Amino acid sequence: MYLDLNFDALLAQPFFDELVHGAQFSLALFAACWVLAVGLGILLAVVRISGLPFAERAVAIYVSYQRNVPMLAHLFLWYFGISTLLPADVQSWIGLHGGEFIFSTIAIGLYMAAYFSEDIRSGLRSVPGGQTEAARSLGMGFLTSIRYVVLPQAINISLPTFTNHTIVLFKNTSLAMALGAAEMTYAVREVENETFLTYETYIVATVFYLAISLLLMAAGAVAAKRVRLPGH
Amino acid sequence: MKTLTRISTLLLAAGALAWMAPSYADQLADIKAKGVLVCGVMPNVEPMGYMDMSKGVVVGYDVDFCRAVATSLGVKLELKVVSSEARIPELLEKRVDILAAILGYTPARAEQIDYSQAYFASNQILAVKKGSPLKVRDDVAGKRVSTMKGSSNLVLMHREIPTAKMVSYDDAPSAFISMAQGKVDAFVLSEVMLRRFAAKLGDGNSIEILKPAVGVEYWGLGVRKGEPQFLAAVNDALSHLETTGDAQKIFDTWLGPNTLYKMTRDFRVSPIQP
Repeated sequence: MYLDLNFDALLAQPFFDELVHGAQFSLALFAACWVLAVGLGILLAVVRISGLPFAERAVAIYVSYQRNVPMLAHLFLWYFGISTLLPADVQSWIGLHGGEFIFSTIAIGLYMAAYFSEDIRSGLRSVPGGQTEAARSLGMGFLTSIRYVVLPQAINISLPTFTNHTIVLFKNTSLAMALGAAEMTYAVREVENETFLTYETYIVATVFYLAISLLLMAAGAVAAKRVRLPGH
Repeated sequence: MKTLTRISTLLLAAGALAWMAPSYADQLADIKAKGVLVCGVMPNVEPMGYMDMSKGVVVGYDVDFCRAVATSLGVKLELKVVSSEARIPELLEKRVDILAAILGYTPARAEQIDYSQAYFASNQILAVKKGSPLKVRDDVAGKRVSTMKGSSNLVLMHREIPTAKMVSYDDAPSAFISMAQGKVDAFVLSEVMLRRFAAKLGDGNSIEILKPAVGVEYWGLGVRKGEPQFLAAVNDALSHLETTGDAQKIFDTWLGPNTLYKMTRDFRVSPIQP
């Protein structure tokens, strides 16, 4: 074994910049995917308990589809498949404005939305029915009672799994590499390919993913404390 | 009982020591003693190294060169499939003796491993969709160009056309499709692969080549550093293949006029000039 690690080369240009850009891309991709996934996830969860049979069924089908097809297949489908159905002008515009980022965001965001919606749904289901009934008897409509009474409790209950899936989402952004998205794993492989500092580059990647994941876990713990409701 | 434990501990320790003891002889002597040359080859790069489904073995241009080296050393050939990312670690960690794995010469790689003489010279070419506004090689300045991950084209393009924005995909078909779909403006690849795509596309009219070539990449067999006898034996074997005409025969078998590549050999086995 040779374990004389050489990090100097990674701190030199152009590799350092490449890794920094990779890290920035990963974080931006994560943020965009998370906003899409959480927003859509909440919407889907609420529709799922709306009592409209057709809408509930549609969400159930959506969730099964997203959860039962591998993420990589979703990425390829959006990037190489669905993108070609767009008008040629739109396609070339997207091509020039970071198609890798856009389609990765859509694919990962839609995929993780299914998981978030299930997290919130299980939270919604564990809020006692009396809460809705009480809210409705006070004269609140369906959406108002969800927004002010049920959803805050549901999110509180589902925060642990929510945090968990946030971390999964963050790590899944590395799959966007397959579409040529220049995120952290892409940058690491590129630098590794040029320097052959295999251990060093993967140590950098490991530390990056570990640090951000731990940060997300800590943020989840803080959030759980902040939103803890009396009696929970 | 206590004695028994002690004895077995001692035996275990002795066994572990014997197992850890490195081989002292040089690699050439080791290979000859074992009677086997373990050669790392690619499993999915036709016609260089790929799985022949009907026979269930890996065959190709690279494989034939490795076999010729083994024959010349008087040992048996054992093939081990490697991936393009892991091929150099596999060599450095002694899981293979030698690499015949489409290994283009780059200075960074040459710091990690030693290269034999070049046994192949690959013209690296830019291709665009037919009708593209790009007409000559240097038109790709500032444009998006696709390639394969782990490919030395990244280094080559960085040197020749530094303003081109490189986008690398997991495999050649993805890189090709992204060009065909207009996600990138051009695709940089070896002439061999280009001819293969053109042949698969039928009339070969849907892509155009931007001239001149971006560069020539010299492929060598890869060996570990610090094994001068082994490297010399490999180089002798390659020179011998050139003089006997066997190198030409291997070329013609896989790439020559009677194959779908229809290429002519415009290089000879010769030392790689950095």
